[in-house]
Amino acid sequence: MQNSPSRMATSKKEANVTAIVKKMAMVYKNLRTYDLNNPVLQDSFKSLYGALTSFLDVHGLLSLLVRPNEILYESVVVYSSEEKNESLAFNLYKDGIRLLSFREGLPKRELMKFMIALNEARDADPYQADLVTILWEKDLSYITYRAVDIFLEDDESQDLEQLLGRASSDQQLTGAQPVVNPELLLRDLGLSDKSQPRRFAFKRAVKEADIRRIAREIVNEDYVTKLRRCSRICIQILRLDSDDMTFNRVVGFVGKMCDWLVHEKEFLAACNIVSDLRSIRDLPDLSDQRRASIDETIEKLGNSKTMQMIGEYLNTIPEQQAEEVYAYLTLMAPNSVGPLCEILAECEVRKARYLLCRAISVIIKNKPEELRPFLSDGRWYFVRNIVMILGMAGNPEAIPLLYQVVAHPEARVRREVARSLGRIGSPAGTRMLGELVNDPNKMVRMASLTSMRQIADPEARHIIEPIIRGKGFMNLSPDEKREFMRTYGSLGSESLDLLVDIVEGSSQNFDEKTRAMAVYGIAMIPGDETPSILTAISNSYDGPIRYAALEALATIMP
Amino acid sequence: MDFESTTVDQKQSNAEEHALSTADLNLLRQAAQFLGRFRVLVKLAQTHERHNQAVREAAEALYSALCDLLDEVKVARFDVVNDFIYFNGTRIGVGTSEFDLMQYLVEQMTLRNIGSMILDDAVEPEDLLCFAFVFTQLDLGHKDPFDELLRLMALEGIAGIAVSKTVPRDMNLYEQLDHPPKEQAKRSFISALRLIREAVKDGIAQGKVNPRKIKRVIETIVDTIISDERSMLALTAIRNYDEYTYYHSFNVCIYSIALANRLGLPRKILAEIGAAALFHDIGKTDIPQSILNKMGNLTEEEWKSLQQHTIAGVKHLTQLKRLDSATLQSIIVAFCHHLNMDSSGYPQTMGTIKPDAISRIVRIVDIYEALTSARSYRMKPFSKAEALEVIAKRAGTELDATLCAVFAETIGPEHESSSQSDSAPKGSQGP
Repeated sequence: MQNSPSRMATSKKEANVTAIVKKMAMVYKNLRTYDLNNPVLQDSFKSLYGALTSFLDVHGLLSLLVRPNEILYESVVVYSSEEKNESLAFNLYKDGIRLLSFREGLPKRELMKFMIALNEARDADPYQADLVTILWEKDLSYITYRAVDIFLEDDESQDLEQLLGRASSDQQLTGAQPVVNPELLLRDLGLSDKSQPRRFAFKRAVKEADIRRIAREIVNEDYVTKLRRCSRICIQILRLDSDDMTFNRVVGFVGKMCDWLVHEKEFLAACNIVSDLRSIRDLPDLSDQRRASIDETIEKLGNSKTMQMIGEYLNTIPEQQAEEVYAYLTLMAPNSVGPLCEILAECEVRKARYLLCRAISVIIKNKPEELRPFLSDGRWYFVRNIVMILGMAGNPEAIPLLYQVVAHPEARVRREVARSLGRIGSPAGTRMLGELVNDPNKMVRMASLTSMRQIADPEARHIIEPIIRGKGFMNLSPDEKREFMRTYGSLGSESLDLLVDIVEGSSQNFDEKTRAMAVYGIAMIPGDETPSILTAISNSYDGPIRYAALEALATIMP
Repeated sequence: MDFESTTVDQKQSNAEEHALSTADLNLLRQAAQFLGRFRVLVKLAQTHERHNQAVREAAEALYSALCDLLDEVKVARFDVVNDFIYFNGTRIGVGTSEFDLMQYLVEQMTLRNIGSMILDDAVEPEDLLCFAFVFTQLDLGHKDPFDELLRLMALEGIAGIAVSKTVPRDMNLYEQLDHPPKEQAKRSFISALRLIREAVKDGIAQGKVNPRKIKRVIETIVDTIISDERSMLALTAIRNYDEYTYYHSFNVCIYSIALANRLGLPRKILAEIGAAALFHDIGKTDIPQSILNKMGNLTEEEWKSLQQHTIAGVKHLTQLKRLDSATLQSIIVAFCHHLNMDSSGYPQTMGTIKPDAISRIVRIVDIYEALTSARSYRMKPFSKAEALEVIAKRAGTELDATLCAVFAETIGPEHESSSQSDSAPKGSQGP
């Protein structure tokens, strides 16, 4: 066929075909340059479709023969190009297309699918697909093609004879045939031994509705469903299998599927996979090598690309899926903390930030040290979030990290440090709170007092008492004085003496309002005696003290 | 312009295609229903008068089916292309019930040189009735039946129905490139055998089995089955006992595609099913030949080892490191093809994993193929009837009843291998 003589276009019909193929080459070229909505591309496509359908309306069919550098119509060269990369002819030819036909009635959408297929084939991984495969999957009806089978071009006939010669039919079976129990054959196939009589008639069983149901079941089994099913199978194999050699590979494959599920926003399914992997990891008799393999796979799931994708998704996430994302993130390995923190730093949605903080706090719960590098970040709001995460993690090992920012120039960071120390709840944080309770900023001091109450470390009395007795105390606002008194009271019955002294006015020259604040402190002292003490104070002649005692009593009495 | 509706993003495109195929499936079923009623009317027109009540009722029923279609689309266009009927550009899937119908209509339309039939909302029941009679009573011996059809249609004043002539193929070109169906079937057979041998010998993940190659071969098999099921099914009689696994895999692939084709599935899915079926036993490469080729019964230990091939299959396929839909489906089938619907079979999953529909197809076909081929057991194979008996006894419990029934129809009496006889004794009755 390649050697058939060709000539140049002369008739009007041939000139029309030349114009059509030229337009096709133009669309092919434009597809490489422009995106699908570009007007240049759209105009060129319109022009091609118009010319092609006009031709088909008259002639019914357009068949083009493809050669390496040429396209022929009825032995006439209608397209020629030596430039292989951009050549329409070469790109068709190299994938095996030899004949291309367009039929009357060609819909616009089908021509578009065809042109897009040509473009897809240009960028396709040659190992995975070629133009013939891509066109086949498009299931075109008005555009047909003939392709040579590139896989059967070598010594085909010889192979055919060889194969058919070696093969035989069942009837030709000869030789010794030992008796084989058919029941065992059925067992090999995984079938039971059914000895009951048959009650099934094939013909009656074919019901159109059932066939449709199965067809629907198959069509509806989309990619994600397959991923989910496949991952369950692989997890099952990891549980069943005793082969060390392949364990790593299957675990890696499961990890890959999980990553895909995340990209498909199937967080619940992904979550189940990682949970399963973790439960296998925690099996007591699992070898170290297998455990390491699972750890490595989970670490890979925390790659920055995926985390980045999740970060972007978090900005638009529907409420109901937020918890699924959170649950998935909490299963990540500490290596994911870096990318997640980067997302946190840039995230503008408050709910998403909070979700990230919660998730990171779970991930670093046992390794708060992972967050150290972020504490020196220049963005105060980001540092504040990191401090908050350390608090949420509740691990006392985070306390030395918090020292790093206890003197942060931004008061909101220092306040968060105070809060986090309270959340951690360890007496080890008391000393740092001692510094913060003297902070020049009131909100930092107030947060520190709250945290001291949460920790309830009696040692804190040695920090607060000097402040209460100090000269500056009288200059504090009433609410702050009250917080100091309450905190002091909360530290135990040993605080009672000083507080009673203050109320009675026998300790120092406290004014009446400050003395009243001490009543609130007494109310915080744990113990059975507190109500009777407050009842006694409620008989005071001093109005503010009497009022404070009554109010305090109302809050502590049931 | 339609460009806007298309996206280059593969994932989205897959999703769209999926959604499209679900929606299309319903429309195509309606189109098939219309054609079914058209055939009824045509057949009635061959034996009855126009005023016959049954004829008029058939015309009304046809009109009703057309109205259903025209509720969804502006124009209903039926084209005969390459021995198939396309509805508005999409091939109507040939399901069990449509198989004969399509063959009949393609034949009848081709006899009259009708390439397309286009109907719009100007059609009345009377037009359909007249068209059916013109269609039926057309003189097929006429020098140009199509022109005669047009003349008669004009004479009857039929509105809303247009027909166009079959577009002649450019025969010279096609002759050079086309292979006759039987030749095409053989070529597909060889390609598939080569493929499975390469996969087994070289290891599926060693990079020697080209995924593109797999796709191309399977696509050819699918096309051959769609266009010439008989030629392809006939090849399943070819055996080579030295290479049982390859031949068995190939046959399971053929039967599975043929069965799935009867469900009216799109050919892209048929290709996935074909690939999954072709590699369903890939795990057997891990089983010692001494077990696979053992003459006689397997011991308990050997049997346990044999069972491992489903798990080994998954492990082989995970080596591909690809996550495309076909690979995932192959993994699912490799694992589930010995699992029964009632959770019996193997591997034991305690009911946590149920076989999907495609695994259920391969399950039935695998049993049938294993029973009807002699393989290493060195016994005479079960006859087709005996194998179907085994399947029938388990239909509805271990096996999917509907799929069993469709399979029985697929292999049908006409595909009874000449090399096999229903009177052949069972495996236990060797000489």
